[in-house]
Amino acid sequence: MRLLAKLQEIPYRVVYLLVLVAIVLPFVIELKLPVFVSNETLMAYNTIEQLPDTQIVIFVSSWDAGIKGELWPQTEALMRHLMQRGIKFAIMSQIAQGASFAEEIAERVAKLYNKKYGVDWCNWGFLTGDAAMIQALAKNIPKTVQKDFRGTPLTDIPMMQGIEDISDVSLIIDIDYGPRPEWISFVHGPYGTPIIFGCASIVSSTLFPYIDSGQLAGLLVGVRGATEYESLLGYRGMGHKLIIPQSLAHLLIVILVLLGNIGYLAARKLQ
Amino acid sequence: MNLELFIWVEAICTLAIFSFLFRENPVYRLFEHIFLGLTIGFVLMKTWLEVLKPKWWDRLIYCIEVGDPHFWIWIIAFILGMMWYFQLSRRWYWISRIAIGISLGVGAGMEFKNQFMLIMPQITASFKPILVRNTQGMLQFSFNNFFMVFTIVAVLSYFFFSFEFKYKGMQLLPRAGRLLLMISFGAFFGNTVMTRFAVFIDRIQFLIQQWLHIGGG
Repeated sequence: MRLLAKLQEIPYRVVYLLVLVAIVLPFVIELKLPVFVSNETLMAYNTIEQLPDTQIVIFVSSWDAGIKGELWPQTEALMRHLMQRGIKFAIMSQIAQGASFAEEIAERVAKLYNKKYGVDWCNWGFLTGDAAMIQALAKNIPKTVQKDFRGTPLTDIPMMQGIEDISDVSLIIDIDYGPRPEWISFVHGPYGTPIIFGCASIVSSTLFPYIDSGQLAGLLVGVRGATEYESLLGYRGMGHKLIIPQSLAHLLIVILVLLGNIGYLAARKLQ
Repeated sequence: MNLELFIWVEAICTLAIFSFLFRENPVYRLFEHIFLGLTIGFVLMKTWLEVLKPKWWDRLIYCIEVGDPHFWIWIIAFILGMMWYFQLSRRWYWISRIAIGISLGVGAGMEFKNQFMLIMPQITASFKPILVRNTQGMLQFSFNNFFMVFTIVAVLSYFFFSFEFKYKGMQLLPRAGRLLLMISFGAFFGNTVMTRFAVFIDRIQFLIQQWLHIGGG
């Protein structure tokens, strides 16, 4: 019983070491786990599958280095799908660093599908103003954005010819640590434009009600959502690399929680 | 710059920050300050180049050059923006309150519209039939709907403070609400663990596969 009670006192450095081993192991020894696609990821996939190629998609990428592990694979998977289907998209960001990360990913993916900047995709850069900017964008895109990330006037970008307002946009994708609900209120609400969110797992619980109420057309949750999307597209990318160590680490945490509780119960019995 | 050099710089930065896991040390402090400086510099540069210059400065200059009589709008924007900085002075602090007041008024108006458009569809979506008929999986849908409606009522009853639930039968409802809230907090915590691990694993993957070239890259 005393030995069991000691389970409560595992030194934190031992826990760190165990977590490190659980995470490092899958990178050294190849492991494979099945991927089951969740309903919210499938909804996002089906929405993009049904998009017309006559309108553009606004790809909001408002994440930075701090959350790269979860949102880079999501951004890549969604961009691959859009380029695979030949749907034109415009990147924008609501934080300073976001547009640079998205630009890097788009350039890589564009090479795979032989897509050209300005013709198949473009980058509007960093747009501030949150709710006010979103409402202005819905009413007049060229006037709100004016110039792209590289300083080219929007009117000189081939894919932006004839794009005036939200009626020329078929979908909004917002990849963010915590995506902005303003897109739902000020775009989906009044204009009916479908919206897909990609978020860090930490905020996902707050976004599921939007799926139930039909305000979101899909939701990608952290690395899990990215991995599911990769498997729907039939490739093994960054998501697949990260999900196996993550599953092992979660398993370890569950075991440690159980051990801690056994230790607690044993210590109580001893008293 | 050479890609390998980039990877080395990235690896050294990552390891310096991770050194905090062992204990607080000067290397960690140094890199923390470097990151802070870089971020502030980067955001300042981006704000000027991608926001203030094209959306304010260039427009002001253009209006003055073509003799547009409405150029003063951009000067008012500048004055309002500068008012915020009076927060730094005890004597002139009151001037910043004008800017704060305008921001609060605009923000409150927008937030009212925002919340209305967000919450109303969710309220209507929460009115679900408890008995679902003529559908495949009738039992499953009925159970799901019943559980959702029960959860809403139970959780709302937990936050109902206007009168006391005196009867024992009635006390069960807020208790169930509390239990359901605890389950949702557990889900929040689980998701928090998931995000933290994803961020950590991304760095470990970088160190092992891209820096040390171990395993499949």
